[in-house]
Amino acid sequence: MTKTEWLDALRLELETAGLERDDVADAVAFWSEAIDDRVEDGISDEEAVLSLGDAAEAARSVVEELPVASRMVARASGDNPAARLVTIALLVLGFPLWGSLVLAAGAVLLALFIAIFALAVSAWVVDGSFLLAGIAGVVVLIQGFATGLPWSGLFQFGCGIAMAGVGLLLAPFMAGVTQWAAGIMVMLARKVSSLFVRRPAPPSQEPGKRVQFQCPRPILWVGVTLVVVGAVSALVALSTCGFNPESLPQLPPICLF
Amino acid sequence: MDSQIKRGLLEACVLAMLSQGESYGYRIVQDAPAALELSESTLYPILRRLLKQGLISESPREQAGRIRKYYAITDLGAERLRAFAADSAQIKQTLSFIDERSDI
Repeated sequence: MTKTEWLDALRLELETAGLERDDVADAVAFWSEAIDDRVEDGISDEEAVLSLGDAAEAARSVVEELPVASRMVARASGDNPAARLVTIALLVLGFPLWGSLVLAAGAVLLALFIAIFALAVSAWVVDGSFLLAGIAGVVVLIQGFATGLPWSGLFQFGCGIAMAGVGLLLAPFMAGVTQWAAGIMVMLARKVSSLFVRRPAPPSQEPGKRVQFQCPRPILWVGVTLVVVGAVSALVALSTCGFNPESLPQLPPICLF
Repeated sequence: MDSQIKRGLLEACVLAMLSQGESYGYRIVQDAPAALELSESTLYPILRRLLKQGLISESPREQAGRIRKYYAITDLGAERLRAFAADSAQIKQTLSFIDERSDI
């Protein structure tokens, strides 16, 4: 077998396997170079080709690298154009079956995505409402003084500020939950895309990159301070009414509109 | 050799060879340790994979009237090679663990 014959055989194998034109050219150039280098080493064309082995085996090593989905088509079609037609026909005829299965799988996946996303969103909604309670507390304190009910205002301010402190302390935990949710979504997306695109395995996770529920020091201090200030304010206000919150006069409702 | 193990070793091996300077297909096959039984059919997919991951780069150059592709290790590839070298003590320990228990 000459060099040209061997390379033609390789090209045919790769083309019938459904490889892209550029990929076929790249592979053929690689093996052509390998033969030339052997000949340059002082052996004949035939010997060089012989030492490379079967062209079909060389082609297989290239096709094995294709992603699962393309490989299945390549495998199923084989080297026979008729078989390829049958495969395509079967794929079209079988669409009602595999199409609905794929659709169902896609819907399940979408639902999973939405559920995980909702988890992250609700974590922040909860945290946000805690923080909002702090702002409301300040508003109510001003209102309390303006309407001549300072102790009622101070009590509600204390409760609000303490809640804001709790919200602040919870924020790093919520960030951890979000990070975790994002990690799962990325992993899912990667799993799905790996069926169609062959990608290198992601590098193993560094220990430092793992999800951590660490609370930065400033947030910790501000959060704790808010809780303490809130608790003290509320207790001071309560002490004026014998620790019976029901006996505190009610503030008039604030009308925003 | 088991193909899964061989695959990982070969990738590291090719990176190690290229870390000594750029090289081309035939020479990589010649330079590889005999125990790995490296052939062009095994090498080609490895090169494609390393290229895709950006661990090596290729540059076609004219050589004696024909084109020859030279492969060189990238910074990312050097980093991967260092990581592999760092893991080698672990790998050796695992291998001897298997060795001690496999002489049935």
